[in-house]
Amino acid sequence: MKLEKYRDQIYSCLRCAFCFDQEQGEGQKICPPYATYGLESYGARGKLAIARALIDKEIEYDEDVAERIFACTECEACQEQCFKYLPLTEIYAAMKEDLAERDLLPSGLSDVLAQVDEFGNPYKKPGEKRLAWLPNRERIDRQAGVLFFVGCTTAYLRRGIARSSYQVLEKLGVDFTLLGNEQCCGHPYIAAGKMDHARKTAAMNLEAISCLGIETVVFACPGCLRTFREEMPRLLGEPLPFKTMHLTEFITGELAKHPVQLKKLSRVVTYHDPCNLGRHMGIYEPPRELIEMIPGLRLVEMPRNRDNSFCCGNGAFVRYDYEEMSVDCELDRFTEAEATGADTVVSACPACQSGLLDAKSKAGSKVEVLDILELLAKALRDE
Amino acid sequence: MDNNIKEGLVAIVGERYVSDHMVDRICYSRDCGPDKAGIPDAVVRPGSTEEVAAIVRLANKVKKAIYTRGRGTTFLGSGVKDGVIIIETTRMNRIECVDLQAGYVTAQAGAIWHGIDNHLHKLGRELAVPGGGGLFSCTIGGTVAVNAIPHGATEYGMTADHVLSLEVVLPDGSVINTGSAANPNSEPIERNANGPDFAGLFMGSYGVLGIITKVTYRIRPVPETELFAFYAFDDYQDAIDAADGIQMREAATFIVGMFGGPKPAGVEGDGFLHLIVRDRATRARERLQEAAAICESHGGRPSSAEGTRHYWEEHMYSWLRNTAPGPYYSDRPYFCPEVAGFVSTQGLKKAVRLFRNLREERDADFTRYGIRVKGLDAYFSRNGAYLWIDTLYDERRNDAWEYGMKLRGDIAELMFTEGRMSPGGLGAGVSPYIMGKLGTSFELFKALKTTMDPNGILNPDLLFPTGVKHEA
Repeated sequence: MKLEKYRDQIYSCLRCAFCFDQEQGEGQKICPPYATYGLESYGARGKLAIARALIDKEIEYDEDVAERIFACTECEACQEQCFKYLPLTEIYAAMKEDLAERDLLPSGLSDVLAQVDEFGNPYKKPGEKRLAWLPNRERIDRQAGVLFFVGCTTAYLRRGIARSSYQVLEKLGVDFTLLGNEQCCGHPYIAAGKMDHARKTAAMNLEAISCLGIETVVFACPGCLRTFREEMPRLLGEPLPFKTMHLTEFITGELAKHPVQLKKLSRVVTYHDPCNLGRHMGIYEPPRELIEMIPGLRLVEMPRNRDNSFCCGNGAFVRYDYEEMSVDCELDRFTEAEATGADTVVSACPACQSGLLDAKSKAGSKVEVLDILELLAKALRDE
Repeated sequence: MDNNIKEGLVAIVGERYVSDHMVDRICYSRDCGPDKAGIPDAVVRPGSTEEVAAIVRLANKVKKAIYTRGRGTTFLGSGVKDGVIIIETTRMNRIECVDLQAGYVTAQAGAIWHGIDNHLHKLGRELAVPGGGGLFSCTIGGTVAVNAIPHGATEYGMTADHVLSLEVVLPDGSVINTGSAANPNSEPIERNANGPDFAGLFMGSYGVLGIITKVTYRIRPVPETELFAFYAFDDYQDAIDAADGIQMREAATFIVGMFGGPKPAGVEGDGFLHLIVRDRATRARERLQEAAAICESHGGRPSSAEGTRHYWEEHMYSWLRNTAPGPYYSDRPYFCPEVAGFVSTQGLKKAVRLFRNLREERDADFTRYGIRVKGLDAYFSRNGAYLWIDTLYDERRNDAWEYGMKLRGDIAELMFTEGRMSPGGLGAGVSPYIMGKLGTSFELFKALKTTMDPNGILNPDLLFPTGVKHEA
């Protein structure tokens, strides 16, 4: 059992319930599955109780355990609150590996993996359409300092982000390229605990990138970035031979070196921190700095921001098995955003954008939902 | 569990709010304390007082015991037995009314203490004690049911002091309101109205006489200023004398004394006092000056109060020892079989000495079993002190657990006799050591339980451990 490695940490859980503190009453939700399903087994304290019972052999892995563990959006809010500073995300990841070994994956997630196996992306889309949004193919597979790793969600579902990212990089005069045969980053495999599959994918991506003399790989998708920055070195057992940056980090740096004139956009915006970008990688300020750079924008923060941000409910591919929870969370977050009085909700993640757009449609709201790259592209556009 | 009982529960609250899956049941067994507990047969999550009452009536009919749980954050043992039903109250989480003019808030029992306080702060108010109990994730119903010891106790008193009214489901399933709210034509503004103080029966009695479903609690404006000070003393008895003087002069909102466990980083001494003063700005300065003068007159040396401020603002106990929480709390999987209770301020000197002596005598055992002393800390109340004797054992070692539990019993025995200590919280962990000493009070308590709950439905055994008899 992979979980054995975490025996000491699991025994250390004080059961203080800070991992779902403030969730009830007039307080604020923290943990998506606990907020929706209400039973402790869906929250961090409960999952640690389950982990301890597994280690103590009081229970065995089964469908009920899988149901609780795979409901986690990997938002890491529990870890942020943990009184004992326990590595909760790592513990859940070990449980996922154990469950995967026992073929106890939920059906929706299994389908996602089957699609990644067959199509190289979770959306059953043909590989040749991955870069169909490009204005031309001039930049594909060329030697360059920077690689834009597009990612499946951006490439197939949120092409506005892909186009905007491309336009922004061009406008800033960045020497960049894209992979002609880009594959899924492997994030779905990691979310499912299928680490051998993730390792193979990581090796394939690394090989493709290594041929192009890349110094920096930039991402619009925080999930892909987290996979590259945090998971790939662990999976491959060595550091990556290039730097990895979210586009907001990269562009903030570029604009500091080479300032450009940005067009005035008269908007009141609020910013939703994606969990993968914020809590997982600590990237809170670059997106805000970009917003502040655009003339005419006024940023108003939601009550839950930065490390206290609430998940949009769409992490770790949970939507395929726990749609009720995804809808609950995205509506909760969108309502919070709307209450700030902002006319635009900005995020920096294609999955978050999908969730927030879904919530906007369900709420019948006129508030616009944009990715930060889309906002920046508007400010850079010639008119 | 019996299908008829499950169907009965589902009929009351709906399928979504009943679980008899093992994976759920194991999560409602232990609390924050060291006591091992049983596995319930089912967990049921009612959404209203009516549903709680219906569950209690069903439990009476089928003679099935119920244990009530809010967030399960007590350290003293909620005593869950195998095969019982857990009623979990956190769906009942509404803040029903805030009356700024009359100065109260009414909330359902499952509302989180901290959540209510956050809401009140937006209105410039706070609950009349800032933080019931040690863990801020607790529910208001649970906090009142165990009468958790609050922060700010030196000026604000105990949790129960500010309860104005309770709504309670009795063991037969009937519902009462206490105090002025007993009359539906009146408002819940006074606890001591309409005859006897029935609320008192349910505070500190751990739900054995009724399930609290709603609490009306006093609120007050958030004070204008908070000031902090920290003093070290070469002799812990001088620190206690200083605290005594501050209590008499009402010069601090909260005094926390430290007489054992790890010493605060970077400070020498045998006893330490953290002082917190909350008041209007001018008055707060005056009070802090007076408290400081008292400390200095007893040989106290001022030191940085940054730890005091962090402790007050972040609620992290490590700051009492000038230590950031990370390394302090994450060191090893320790659990705390605490013994705690009230002593008079001067009586505290003897209680501290008794524990220090015991610690010295048992040095070899402490080393053998890896036992640590987390703290020998006191929250000074208006006229005494609430002393926490917190030992820690390593949860991974069964022998350490066994010794830790034995140690708890020995310390309890020592403190509840020679130390003249009266426990505030009881719980399944402490009640075996105190109930037998309560004489006719215990007999009255048992008689009340038998009369009110003849079927033994609500938290049976929790405060009435098997075999404990009135000591002659």
